Amino acid sequence: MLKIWYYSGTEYMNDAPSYFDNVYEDEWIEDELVKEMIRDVDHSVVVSAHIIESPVLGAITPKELSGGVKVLILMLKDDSFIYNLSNCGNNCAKWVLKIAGMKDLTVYLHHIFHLEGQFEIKIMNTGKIVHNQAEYVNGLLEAEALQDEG
Amino acid sequence: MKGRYYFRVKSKRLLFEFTIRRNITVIKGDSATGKTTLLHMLYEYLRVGRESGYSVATDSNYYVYLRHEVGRTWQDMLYPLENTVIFIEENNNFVFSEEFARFVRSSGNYFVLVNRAPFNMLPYSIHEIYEIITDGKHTNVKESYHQFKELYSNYPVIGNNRMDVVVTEDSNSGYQFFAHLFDQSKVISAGGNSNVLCVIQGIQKGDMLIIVDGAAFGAMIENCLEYFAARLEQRISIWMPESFEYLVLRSGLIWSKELFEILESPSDYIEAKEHESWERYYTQLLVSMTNDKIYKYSKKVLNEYYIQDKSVEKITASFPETLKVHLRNRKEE
Repeated sequence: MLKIWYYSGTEYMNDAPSYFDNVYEDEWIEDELVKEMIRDVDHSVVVSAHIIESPVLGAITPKELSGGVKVLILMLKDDSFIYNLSNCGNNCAKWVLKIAGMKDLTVYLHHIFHLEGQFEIKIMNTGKIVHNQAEYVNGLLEAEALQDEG
Repeated sequence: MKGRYYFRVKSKRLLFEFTIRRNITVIKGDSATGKTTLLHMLYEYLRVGRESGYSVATDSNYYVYLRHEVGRTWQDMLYPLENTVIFIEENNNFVFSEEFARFVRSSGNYFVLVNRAPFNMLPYSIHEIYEIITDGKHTNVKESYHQFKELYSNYPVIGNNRMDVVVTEDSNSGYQFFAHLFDQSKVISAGGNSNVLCVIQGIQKGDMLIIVDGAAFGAMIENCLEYFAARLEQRISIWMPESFEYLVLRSGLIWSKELFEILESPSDYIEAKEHESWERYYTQLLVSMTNDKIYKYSKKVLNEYYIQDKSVEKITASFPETLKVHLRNRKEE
């Protein structure tokens, strides 16, 4: 299940893309799910653990992946921290839900990340579980109002 | 600092071209569009010039803040800057602080902020929120061309012909004008842009038109649009002209060659140090241009002159077409 702390309530990894550069492992990049995420979000193809073919940048290393993909990989592979979902663009949404379908994933969020369809998300600030876009947006706004009052 | 500043940032494989027009610009959007790459190229060129392998052509001083440096605070690095376009990378949380907001308001510099989260303490325009897009037309085999695209350029959206309730951000003159104009709707003042969403959430019945000052609504726009999309049982439309005063200024009610030139190119006239947002400038301009006239404008109480039929006709002439149709239909009923 995806668990979201909205605006407050938790410590989180502030600069996950830099952290990724220092901790990523070759086997992470060779994971089939990671390869799919890189292909979908960055439009790039993993040639080997050390070489990724980007249509724009040419041959790059994992350190030149987008910040969004780096955070997705960390969410999947490294549970040491809570990551900031606001590092990810809306084109990462389906992958966040996919990872959260595989394990409990707790994230911090600093804006209304666009989600569609059916899902199960717990808004940690209020404890409410939401299942669709309307419930999710209202749930985040309720959490924000709670913070303003507090 | 005032004016528009052009940037052309180039590597062997990439070319970014864009113009910065106001004191606050926000870049967000999807992952992997080139935001970090752009700032890295700007930074490297700033650091070592041509030896970076990049080229940057611009008619402005610029500075890039990527991340905290040991022994130096952001204040150490940014406070000495003047007349500079300052780019700030994501993951620098000081940009959400009250102190940074004060610095933005008082320094007179231009700021380009890479971040998806709203800057609730800063008054920025819906028109200066961009994503970076790759333009296929300009792209060739060797070089990929990237430019800024307004994220909310498709607005105003007025796909709503009932407008049972009209919510205005303005509480004084702007509200009084729209209350007169939409006399067959219930017109409510939100009493400021930060209250708009809260007021809308409290209205459970009827289709709505929301009118806000686009020049300072940047921090609120995304939450509002997400909320509107999720509120399936009501149709909610939003119209975001720069401000009510801007509508009056461009209506032709006041004829002045100087005014015409200002409205043609506001960037060249609006000093960032004096006006934190263009909305404030337009109010001051309207007040000063009508000061000794019978149509003297006051922000607090609307001069009757502005709700006379001929004035209303001129002010509404520049309204979006669907809104004009709605007003005509209401008049005929």
